[in-house]
Amino acid sequence: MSDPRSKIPADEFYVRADPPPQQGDILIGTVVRVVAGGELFPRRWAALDQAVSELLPAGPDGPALRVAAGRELVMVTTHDCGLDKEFNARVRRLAEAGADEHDATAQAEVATELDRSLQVSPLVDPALVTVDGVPISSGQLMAGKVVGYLPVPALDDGGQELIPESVVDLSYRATVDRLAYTARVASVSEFARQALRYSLARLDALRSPLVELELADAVGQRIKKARVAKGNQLVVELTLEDDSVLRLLQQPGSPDVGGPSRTAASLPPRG
Amino acid sequence: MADKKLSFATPAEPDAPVLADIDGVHLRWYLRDLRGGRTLTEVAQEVGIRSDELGRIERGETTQIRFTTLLRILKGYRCDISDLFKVEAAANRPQARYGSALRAYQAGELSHPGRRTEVRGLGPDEQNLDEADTFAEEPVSRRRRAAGSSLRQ
Repeated sequence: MSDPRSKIPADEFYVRADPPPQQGDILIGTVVRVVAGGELFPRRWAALDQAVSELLPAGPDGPALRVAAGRELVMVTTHDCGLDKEFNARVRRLAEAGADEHDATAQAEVATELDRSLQVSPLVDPALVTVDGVPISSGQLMAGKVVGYLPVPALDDGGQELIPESVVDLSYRATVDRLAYTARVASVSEFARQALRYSLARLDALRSPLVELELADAVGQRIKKARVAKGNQLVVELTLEDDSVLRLLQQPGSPDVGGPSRTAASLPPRG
Repeated sequence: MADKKLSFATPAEPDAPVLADIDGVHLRWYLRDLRGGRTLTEVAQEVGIRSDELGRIERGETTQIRFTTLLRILKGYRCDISDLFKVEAAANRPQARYGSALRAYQAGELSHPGRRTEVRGLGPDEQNLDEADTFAEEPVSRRRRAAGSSLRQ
């Protein structure tokens, strides 16, 4: 397995194909998030907040519900197995009940109650990514060394830059209707999808970017395959180059305790 | 953690205070710049208000101001009212990055419409209901539908 943190060149990142919707697809899509008003948001999201709207006024049950939304290049983060899951289940059920594939899919297509949502994260300008107002080195970002950001190389199509060099901001995840996007701009390679999955796992669970590399170094072999052990989903079995199996118990990472925390100034206004 | 090893660039200089912000369009306040090298006390005497109050006005911390005070400020700072404010249009605001892709889409140049619904095989989580492994090697089958499904075009 290659180092998933390495910068992936464009010709290895994108694929010239027209596969069905997949994890990693880059779309002209929509993102939306809940805001409380004011300017308390990262500047890298300023381009995404093309409209801010109050949907519910403040009341006894809580502060005003405001949303900020906009169109942007987004990456699909939903795993392939989660895309159209209910659609597929309906088709299978209908097929098992005797419908042919055409009829089954036609019926499932018009079943509006089936979940057709996907999760997306926006592509943002690496130059706008900051920590407490201080820019993060673009080199670090584009090398995939910053937790929460997946580097995306520029996609040039006949002299036209369809996708500028960006990072996918995985801390901004929006659940959107798949009908709400304009078009797919590009699909990505399996290698790029692996990098996305790695970045998602790293952000939400593992945090440590060095686990796989340190393991490979420690055992002196490449890791061929990883799977969750039979009967215990916390145990990961790694199959090494020589087909020996290493069993590991994954511990989710947690931040150190005792750091600063927000105070009343960060609480929503009353009324 | 790896984050601690990040190298940082120098932060940008702070801008003039923002008195109002509507959808990212800022009303900036340049009173401090107009004072130049003169001291706050010196100018406060010329304007005729306390220096601490004038300091708050310079920093944009005052939310209301009397017209008479404004007139005194113009006199004390020897400036015109148009020198005090600038509307910072959205040009300074980061722009969305899909423009080029959208033009290509509108010109029919995108070869990846990606709107089809696909009939997929069982996902790993469904397989887990009655099988041991969490990770599936491959979907059981990958049957595709032709383009132009019922999804909105």
